[in-house]
Amino acid sequence: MFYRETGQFKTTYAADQQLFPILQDRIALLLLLLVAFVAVPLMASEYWLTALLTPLLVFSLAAIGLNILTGYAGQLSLGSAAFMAVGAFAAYNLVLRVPAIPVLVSFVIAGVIAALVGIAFGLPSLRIKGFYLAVATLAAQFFIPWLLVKVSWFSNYSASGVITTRPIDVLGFVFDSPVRRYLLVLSIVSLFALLAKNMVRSRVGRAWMAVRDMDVAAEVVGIPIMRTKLTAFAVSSFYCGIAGALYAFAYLGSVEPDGFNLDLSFRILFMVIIGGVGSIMGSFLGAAFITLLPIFLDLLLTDVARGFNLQLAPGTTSMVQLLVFGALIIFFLIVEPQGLARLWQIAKEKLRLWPFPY
Amino acid sequence: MLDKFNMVISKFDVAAALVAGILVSLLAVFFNKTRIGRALRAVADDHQAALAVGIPLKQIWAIVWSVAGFVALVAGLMWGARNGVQFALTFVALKALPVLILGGFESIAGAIVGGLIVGASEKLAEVYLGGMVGGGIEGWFAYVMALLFLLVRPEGLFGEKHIDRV
Repeated sequence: MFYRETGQFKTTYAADQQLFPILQDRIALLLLLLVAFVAVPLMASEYWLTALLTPLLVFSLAAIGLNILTGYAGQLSLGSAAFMAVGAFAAYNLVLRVPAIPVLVSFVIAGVIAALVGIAFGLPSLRIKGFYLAVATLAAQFFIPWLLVKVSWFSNYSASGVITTRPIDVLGFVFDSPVRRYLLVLSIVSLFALLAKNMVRSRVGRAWMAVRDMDVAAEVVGIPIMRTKLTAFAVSSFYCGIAGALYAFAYLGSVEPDGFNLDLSFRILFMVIIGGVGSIMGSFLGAAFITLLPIFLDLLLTDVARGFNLQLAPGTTSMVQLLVFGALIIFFLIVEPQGLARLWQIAKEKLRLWPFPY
Repeated sequence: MLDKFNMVISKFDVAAALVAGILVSLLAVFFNKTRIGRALRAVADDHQAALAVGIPLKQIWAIVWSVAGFVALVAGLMWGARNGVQFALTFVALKALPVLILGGFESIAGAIVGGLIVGASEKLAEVYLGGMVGGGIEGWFAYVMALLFLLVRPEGLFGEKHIDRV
């Protein structure tokens, strides 16, 4: 009744091509942003901001990056954590060695460096695809952290390879409290999410989707395969690189190369799969699912155990949590193989017809 | 132990190699000669075509997964008895991927040859090249090798060449 496009006439090309053509969508997005920018910093506790929301946003950005590569361009990759590591270490070194550059600019440069590395490891995609490519990107996943550990220049000769970042400052304003860091990450992530949403419907994005759907057919209609695949790798790694820099600077504060392991890559891939392959919003939903669910399960299990007066061994709750988490992932994928974004899509279609669905 | 050739080989390794050999030949016979094996390969080639000629897809899936599980179980038993059982075993399983790719899909012989190549070359690389760059290259050498190999021959050593059709 309330959510439909009826009566919203577009009289200019600009209005016709806007990112969110339905008025209700725009209002909902504005409300969401308002809540995220104003209400959350006012209400959320420090724990929520540092342990839940900031990583959620950082992982969302990484998931958008992988979604561009896997969901839109159809190139399966298991190296996203490695590109995050490149971003984190590049930003660290830029901030350390070239203090003249503002921190945010060095994040962007770190993203560009990650993009270059991504292009280098994306080269095999020109010859191989699908499952083979996933194994080829594993090479990046194992090689890059090893390189970061071995060449101690990258970690400024710290003994264990751990880097500790300094607080972010922009024009003298220091982002030192959890709220400020959250707001910074939120602004960066919203900006890049909007950019991504715009990009995937542009000429570049449509070329990615054509290559994903059938590369030979795309080549026949004149889409340059090499350029398309490599731009997908570059943009994806750029996003992952920025996410890695934020992961180090705004979330953890100190990271080591081994933190960016295969586990993280798989986690980001799960976010994309569960959230919805080929959907920017799905990246957020997937990141929320993967980041928040284990914590809620943990709390729930502790409560249940207390309710039944069970004395659990220290490791048991985390084990049970892993079991339930894995079972839930499988359950969701069986119920809705196309991810949470598809559920939202279905809800929207139902909502358009509500309350007279015929 | 063998002292005759001045080599030290544990009995366990010989037994493991024997078991692996027997298992591989059984699998090869199973895939190439039996009715079920042919059905498996038909499903691998094209689900729908296999369904159309009357291959029960669900049964085949069940068989495939149980065979895969069984083979993995044997491999896990051998590895576990040799090097101990810990969570790091998942990384060993991951190394099966470059082996598979090097040898090529759809080929049992490829799996053996690929496995030998990956196993031998990563140890040799660690010993001879590892010293030059500071060691620890065992972790990624197999993947980089598979990557370089794929650039030259995307279908692996014994894999079937795929022709793209629109």
